[in-house]
Amino acid sequence: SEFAIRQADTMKSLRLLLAALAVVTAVLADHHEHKVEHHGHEHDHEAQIDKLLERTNKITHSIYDFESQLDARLDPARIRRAGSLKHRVEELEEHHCPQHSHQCGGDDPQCISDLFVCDGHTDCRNGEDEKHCALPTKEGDSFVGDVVYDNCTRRRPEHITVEIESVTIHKYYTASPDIHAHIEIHTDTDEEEAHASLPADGIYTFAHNELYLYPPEDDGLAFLGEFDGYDFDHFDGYIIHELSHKACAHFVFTRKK
Amino acid sequence: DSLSAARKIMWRLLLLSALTGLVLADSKEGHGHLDIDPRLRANAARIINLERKLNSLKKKLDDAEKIDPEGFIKELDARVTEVEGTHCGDKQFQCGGNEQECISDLLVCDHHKDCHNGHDEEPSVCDTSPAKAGNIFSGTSHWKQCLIRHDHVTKIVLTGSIRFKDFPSRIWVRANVESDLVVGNHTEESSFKAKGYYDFGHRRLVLFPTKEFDDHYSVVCEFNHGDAERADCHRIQADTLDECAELHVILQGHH
Repeated sequence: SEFAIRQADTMKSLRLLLAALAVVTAVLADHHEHKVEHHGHEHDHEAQIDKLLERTNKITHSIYDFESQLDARLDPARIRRAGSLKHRVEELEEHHCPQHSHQCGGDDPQCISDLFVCDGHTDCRNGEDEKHCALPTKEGDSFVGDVVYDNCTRRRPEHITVEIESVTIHKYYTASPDIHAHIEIHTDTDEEEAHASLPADGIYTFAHNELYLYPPEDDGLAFLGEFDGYDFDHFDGYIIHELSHKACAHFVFTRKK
Repeated sequence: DSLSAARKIMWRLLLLSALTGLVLADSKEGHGHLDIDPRLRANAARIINLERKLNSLKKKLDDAEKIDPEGFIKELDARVTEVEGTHCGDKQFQCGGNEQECISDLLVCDHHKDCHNGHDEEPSVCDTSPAKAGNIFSGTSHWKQCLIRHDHVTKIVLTGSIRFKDFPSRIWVRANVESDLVVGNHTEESSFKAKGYYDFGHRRLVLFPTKEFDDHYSVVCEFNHGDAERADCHRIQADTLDECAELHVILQGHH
């Protein structure tokens, strides 16, 4: 009987064992099923996420594309070129302002005295006279000029270099900084090769964007550089008679970089 | 013994199955967290950046609106044309472009093509918007002679316009001309009623004071900036055509 009980117990435990096995199998099977199903979902999710990322990429691309279009319109170099062109037309037109005065420009034209441009006080109704006061001829700047015509200089050079040695901006009067420059002239003729470095003092006037250098020699020839007010890498340089202000030589200058 | 052994096995199997279930359940969740969320999170960060970018673009768009290349070219074209001048007479209209043809300004915009190239009836020439009733042009008057006045604001308010079917080459207008004069330390308004016409050929608006205001000076405006919004005006003595004041106006409330 003991054996019988034992056997019954064994049977019972075996049945339990079977049940346990069944549970494990079921769980495993379930997991397997889940896994397959899960994989399917995963593919779905991946695809959806890929789509989202792709759409984000597309939107990013079109936003940056739009920005580059805006940047093209706002391109400062383009605005400078347009300004230079406008300046040339202005030069051809009748001058609306009397001598020694400055045109405030814009849609509200007004003439103010030269002496008020960049003096730290707003005199134009549109405030234009205090907006463009960055000095283009700073200490250490150097400009190389090629001759256009020359009817008066002693050396008749092909090139002139203007080197800005120092700038003094007076605190109480900022409209025309004092400039100290060197005019470098290199000449090479059949007889001789010569180099001259002429120290010259002068002023820069914001009202007309002009660099004026007093005659460095005793020949009465002064130097006048005219920027167009937009492109500060180029200017027209004239050798002028100090007293008559008549130009007798013309050089086109480019900033040396 | 076999019983206890079988029990042991059973419990082990039960434990194992439970553990397997737990591990499987756990790994399922962990899988998702590790693989999918970081990409979505990174994408969300990019979308936030894009939103910021869009907000900054709004400002750029406002700035870009102020730069009008086409308008700039039109203005330069108008100003260069003015400098070049024409060989046409005072009361004539040049047929534009490279045409050297001149026609009477009375034939411009009369609904009949008089230029060989038809320029005198083109929409850009026959634009009626400078003379539209309701327009308010405003600018600063700068007196050079006739009156001693400080610079002051002048407004030209077009109150009415009429164009006759049998004579369409002019638009007849009525206007109020209002000036804010600075007298001592306060401003005083001085205004008068005026009537006149708009001439398509010269893009010119002429306003004479009406009879009861005949002590005021006339206003002549030329829309010579290549658009219908800006004009160079003069206050003139109607009999001698002497220029007393300069006045540059711009259409108000237009963007």
